[in-house]
Amino acid sequence: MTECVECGADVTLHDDLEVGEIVDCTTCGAELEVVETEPPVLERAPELEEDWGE
Amino acid sequence: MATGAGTREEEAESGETVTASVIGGSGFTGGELLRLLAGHPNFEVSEVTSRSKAGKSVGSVHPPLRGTDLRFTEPDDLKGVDVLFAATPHGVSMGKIDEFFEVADTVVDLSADFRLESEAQYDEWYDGHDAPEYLERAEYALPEINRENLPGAELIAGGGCNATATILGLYPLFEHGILEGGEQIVVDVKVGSSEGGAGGGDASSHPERSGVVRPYAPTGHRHEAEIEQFLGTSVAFTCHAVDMIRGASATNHVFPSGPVSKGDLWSAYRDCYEDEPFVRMAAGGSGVYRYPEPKSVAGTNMAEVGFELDPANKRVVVFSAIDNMMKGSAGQAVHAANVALGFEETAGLEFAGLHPVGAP
Repeated sequence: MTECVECGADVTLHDDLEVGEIVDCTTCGAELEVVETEPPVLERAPELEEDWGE
Repeated sequence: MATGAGTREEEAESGETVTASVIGGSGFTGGELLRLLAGHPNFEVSEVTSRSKAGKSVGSVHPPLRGTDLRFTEPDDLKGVDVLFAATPHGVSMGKIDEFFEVADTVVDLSADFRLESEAQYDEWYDGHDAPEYLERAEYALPEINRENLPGAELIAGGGCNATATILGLYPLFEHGILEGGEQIVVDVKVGSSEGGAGGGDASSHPERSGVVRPYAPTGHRHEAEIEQFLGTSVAFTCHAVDMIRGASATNHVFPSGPVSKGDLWSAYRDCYEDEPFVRMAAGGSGVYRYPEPKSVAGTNMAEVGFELDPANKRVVVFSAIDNMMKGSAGQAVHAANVALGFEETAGLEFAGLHPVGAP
């Protein structure tokens, strides 16, 4: 268990977590990238940005 | 007058089926009520009235209900039931409320007739009130802000669709002191054509309505009264009719007087809604649908709320989206009735929606 960096909710992680893996926060829906496993550290996964105003 | 053997409370505790009638069942929200009640484990629909459709089968008006054996009846001689749902136009229920309570223990009214607390508000925002003595007996149907007062309620007043979207979006900001009441709040709601009801009119005919982004009630919308009543402050409110059938999408621009962080916002919204069965948060997450969107909730009782911080303008923009006929009307009514009668809150409301789907 660790905190979502976006909304602060608890994110449940499985045991065989790997660096680079993407997990979802079930509260805010953010995609989070595992950057360390011992202990687990999550960062916001990069998103493809949209701009429909151009 | 209940038709069952026990009192309403006893029935709720035992989980027994209760009887229900729908008054004004040929309209859009009446049809949604019937769709929900048909799949509800605790309700048995015994009567559906419609003066204009009397004698016709319910399925002939509401296609999803083809195959049911219900027919519309005249509303002049109502049967006794446990719960009466009134899906009539504004102004009808207040004139018939005595009659409704002669035949039912619980009345759930989907119109605006009992939403406001005082006769003075009806004088200001509507055309007065015929039965003001009932106003203090009514409980607002939106469980997210009035759950504690719904159990055992005899008269339940369904919230307005645009007000529901707005209140759900802004409520956490007031609950957590991010807004205190003196700030400027600008609300812009995009609404679908079903908000106009099944009756139609010149502005609702397909050639006129199709493709519009039409401001209507740009100031002074009646739902401002509800919003002010429950949030404790006035809002600058404007609606646009847009080219969808279902849906109300509120964009709320607020300007807090103090500094606000993303963490403050998440704390406020998570605290208010994390455990709510019919509110989910969409605030910049991942995928295509990162913010609230009527398509995502069409046909469901779900509300989506989300926000984004705009530090450069000292603004928070809050989004909320509902299906106006569900969370904004029939779904909210059934949810409130579930709470009032002690049923499982989500009973009859489990439909999760469709994806992909066209214009809702």
